[in-house]
Amino acid sequence: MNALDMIIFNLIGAFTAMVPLVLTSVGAVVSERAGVVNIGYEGILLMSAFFGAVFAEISGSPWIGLLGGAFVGMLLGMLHGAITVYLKGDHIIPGIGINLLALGVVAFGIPAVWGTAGQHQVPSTVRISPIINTSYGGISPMILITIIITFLTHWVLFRTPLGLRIRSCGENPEAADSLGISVEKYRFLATVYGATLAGLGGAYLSLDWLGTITKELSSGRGFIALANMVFSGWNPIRALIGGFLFGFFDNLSIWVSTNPGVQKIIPWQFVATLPYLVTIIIVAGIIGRARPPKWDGKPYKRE
Amino acid sequence: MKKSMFALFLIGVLAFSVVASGCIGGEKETETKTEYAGKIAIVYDVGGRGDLSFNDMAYLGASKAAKDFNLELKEVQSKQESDYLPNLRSLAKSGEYTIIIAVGFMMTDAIKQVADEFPDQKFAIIDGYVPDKPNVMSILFKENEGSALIGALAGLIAANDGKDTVGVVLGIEIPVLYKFEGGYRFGVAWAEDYYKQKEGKDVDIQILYTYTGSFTDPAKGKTAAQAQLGQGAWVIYQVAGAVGLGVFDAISEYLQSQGKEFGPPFAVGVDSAQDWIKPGVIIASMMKRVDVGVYKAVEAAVKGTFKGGIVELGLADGGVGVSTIEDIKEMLESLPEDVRAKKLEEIGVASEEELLKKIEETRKQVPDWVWDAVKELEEKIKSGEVKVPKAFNKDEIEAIRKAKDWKEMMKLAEEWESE
Repeated sequence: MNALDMIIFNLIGAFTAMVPLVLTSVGAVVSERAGVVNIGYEGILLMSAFFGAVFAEISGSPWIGLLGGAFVGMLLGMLHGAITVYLKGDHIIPGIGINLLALGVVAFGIPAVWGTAGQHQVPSTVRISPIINTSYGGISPMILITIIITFLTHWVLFRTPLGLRIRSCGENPEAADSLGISVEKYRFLATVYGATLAGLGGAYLSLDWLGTITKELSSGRGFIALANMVFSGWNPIRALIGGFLFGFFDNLSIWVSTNPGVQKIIPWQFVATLPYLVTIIIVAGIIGRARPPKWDGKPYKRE
Repeated sequence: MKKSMFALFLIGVLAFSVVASGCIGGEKETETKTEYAGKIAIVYDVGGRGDLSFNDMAYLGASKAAKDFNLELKEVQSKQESDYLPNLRSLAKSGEYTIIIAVGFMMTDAIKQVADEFPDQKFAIIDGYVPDKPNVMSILFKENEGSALIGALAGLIAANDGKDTVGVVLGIEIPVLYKFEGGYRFGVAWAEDYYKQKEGKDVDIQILYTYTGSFTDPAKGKTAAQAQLGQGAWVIYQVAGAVGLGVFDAISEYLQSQGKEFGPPFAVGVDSAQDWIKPGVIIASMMKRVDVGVYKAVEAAVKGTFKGGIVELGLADGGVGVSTIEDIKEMLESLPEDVRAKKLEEIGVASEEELLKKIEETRKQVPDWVWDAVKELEEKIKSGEVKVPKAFNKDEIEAIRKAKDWKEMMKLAEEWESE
């Protein structure tokens, strides 16, 4: 085994796998910083992967497909925002609803749209083409976009008045309200922003990374992204690092467990737990105890 | 005011989704008015028609049997897992059907229950294990034999190109998959020996294997295939359901990066003739001939040779095998016209002929003597001269992994058989 090969493979793999996780985590950070919990990202990823492919094939352009996926994410975010922010509903239940809805919509949607059940291959003409094609896999432009979005979000959240207002809605909505900030508006917009990013990540799954749509394409990435958000202490740049680390060790574990020499010594099941363990240890180790925004997940109603 | 608007909106969404799901998932029943000698029924699992795999192949077999024996075929779609029991029960209750066939192991429990309720009704289940009911025929497949052919194909392609590594990407580590892995190993070992006798050169082909722990996440398959390619794998066999789609994509991307339209490296498909999914990338598929299984069950019921218990179909019965161009053609032709046209468009070919031509060309990348060698092994397994071990637990697969050559593996097969 060539060590250089291994490093290049794992770096490219990590950047590739990180995109949906980081986009979702960063979106979730903004949403929760404003005080809205959304556990529906798993469903948003799945549905926008599906609709992203639909939009791309209708329009013939992968970029319109990506925007279409983000648009579906936005709609679902608006649904969640409407229920939690304006109707003061519970934050968990609509998320469960979205996850269940996605399972149904996609399972029925694949045969309804493409005539085949269970899976559909996205034609290569409407897939995002990589910047460079290497024998270790392509390097997608979405990697760059993800990094830019992360830094931009971080900057807005911590360096601008807009960010301060968003955070105040999650930390102390009463104080924010008394200063004339429309808590409902900021919370709603933050929720929609979070879901839109997840939608972008979902469309990336089908239109870029995997080139296929299946009934369970998201495979728990929405939940991993939520965990990553918590371990990163509700901080976009740390979420980026966390997502990268997870991707890196996820790849490394597959590489290592495929190696015949290693297989004889360590069972693959153990190696497969490494990405989770290492990510938790590193990310949580850096930041120590994670403290959520004070009003996270609590509906705010003016007295 | 605002609230009531939202409530109305939500009710609207709800009503729409109920209507929509009713439209999409309606129970499909085919009936035509002609004089039939009898009736048979087939119950699909949640995958349903159009999966280009299990259910479509079951339909192929059932419709062929219906035509050959002049029977009326009733198809029943299952929308969700909770439909299995009522579907089977209502068919059995009518008492009109010579045999009721359930497609897929997920229906095992439902079949057991209904078989007890209606002891006079004949049932067959594909891929389900029901050994002890007199009115249920369980049709299983010897995947180890089919996988041995794939192993031989992979091993010889690698040896022919001067490579020393092949791979297999598997799903969750469950005993059924040991059958595939063991058979594959046997085939590769056989190929080593064959190549040595043909070319007089020693080859030592190592097998990379990855249990991905999933049947649903294509990303896992893609990463595993990339890792195997990076470590030199020349042919990768996928035994992992939807995870395998990632394997195809990884190899396709690898070929693109080298500016090649055709492999090697190649992927190998599983269950149905998957060659059409990515022509140029997939050299062949290990087919589980569900159609043959269904046909045999109907035949047995019609001719009165039906017996409850396990029927295991291997190479000799045509139950497993390496996909041929004919298989792909048959599969394509079983699709409704509009679906077929759409599939061809997605693959990026103008017509069925063009697709088949491309698949043929893919196969021509491998010299004829390799295909002949695979045929030779097939004949030997059919005649019983060569026996492929069937690993069913951890100890057995470990024994195969440790075995030095195929003769040693065959000894294991004979040992296990006599037990």
